[in-house]
Amino acid sequence: MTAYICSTAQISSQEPLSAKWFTAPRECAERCCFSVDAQYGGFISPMAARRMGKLLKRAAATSLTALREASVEIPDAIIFGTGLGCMENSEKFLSAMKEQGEECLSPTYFINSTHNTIASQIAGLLKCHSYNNTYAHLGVSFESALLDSLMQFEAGRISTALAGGYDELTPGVFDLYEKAGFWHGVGKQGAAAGETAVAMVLSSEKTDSAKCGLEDVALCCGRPLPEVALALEKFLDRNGLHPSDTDLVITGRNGDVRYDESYTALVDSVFGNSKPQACYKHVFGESFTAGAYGVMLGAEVLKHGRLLSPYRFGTAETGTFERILLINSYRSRDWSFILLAK
Amino acid sequence: MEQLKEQLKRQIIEALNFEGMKPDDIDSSAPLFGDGLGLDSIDVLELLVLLEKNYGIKLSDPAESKRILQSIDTMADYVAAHRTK
Repeated sequence: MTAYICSTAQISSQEPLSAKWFTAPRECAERCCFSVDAQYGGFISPMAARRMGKLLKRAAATSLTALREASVEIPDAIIFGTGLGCMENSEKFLSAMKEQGEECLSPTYFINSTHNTIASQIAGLLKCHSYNNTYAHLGVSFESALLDSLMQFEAGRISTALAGGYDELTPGVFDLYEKAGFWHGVGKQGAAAGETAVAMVLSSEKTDSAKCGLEDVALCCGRPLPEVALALEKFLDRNGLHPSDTDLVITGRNGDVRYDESYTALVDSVFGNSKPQACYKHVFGESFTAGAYGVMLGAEVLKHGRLLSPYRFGTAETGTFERILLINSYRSRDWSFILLAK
Repeated sequence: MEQLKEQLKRQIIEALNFEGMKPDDIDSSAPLFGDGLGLDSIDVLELLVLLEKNYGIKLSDPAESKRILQSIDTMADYVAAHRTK
């Protein structure tokens, strides 16, 4: 079953709610790609906005933009992925718990501290009473949301879905993850930190505005690299593909020498060393749901039939783009494969 | 009493995150819910937390809460008479 990606919208370190990221991306800063916020007044009423932290506002703006571009008013499903949810409000809630001895706590911060608050508040904003689900599976959260979307289409339960990936970076979270060695440090260990706010509308029908088809999604978690390679070969095989049938591999390389080597080993073992490749985390930064930017990139490459130099990785010549494979991993532990086709 | 009303207005603006609103923008006698300030059920919970946190007042009877939270005037009257801090 193929679902079609009809529209995408992003708020990231790039120009918000714009497509300039594809043609003229700004490279991520050395250690951190904080997002550039949009003007939210046109999307959310002041009464609604007062209860929303920045991630919820980004979710509202990206969701409403993607829906408008796809000419979908109310989707049949809202399925989001988030690694940590609304951290700004979660921190406020936890700080208040500590300072006030677990008493007199704000219900708003509590509501916003739950992972599924993003998808549910977008449903409230749209008055959408249909299927609503949130995946909080660290580095495969967005990919799990995409997999669920595809399964809902396959089961014939929905004909449109709003899928998305959302994560924010607070100074507190940045510091904690820095101490854990996630961000750029000595010897180029660590990635550039990023935030994610990506919404996309999927449809069972190939509309005029459709960017590409979403053919298949698979996860492979907690397995050693040789087994990941076998899983990838099986993934291609179940889609009737030989490794040479993919025109481009977009990987989740993030500049962390500890983990980028596993992408090299995996791609070389399955495709040889002459496969055209692309990457995107040097533009958007790393986050639990950064894989959503990869899907956005793949969709635009298939729509426009070109891959611009800022996203190219390696020297392999590219031809036409009919089929793209996305490979993403969370610290070489949890892997995801996504197949897109023109 | 006027000082207490001013304080309540400031605390409500902060707790309910009314960006750009000033105490003078809230009419002390106007209803806080419905046509007045337009607060809703989640705001009721925020106001109950505000009263407990700042004045040591715990309200558990919904009917009594509804009467007390009608306006800044009714809140200030109750706070002045029952505050423990």
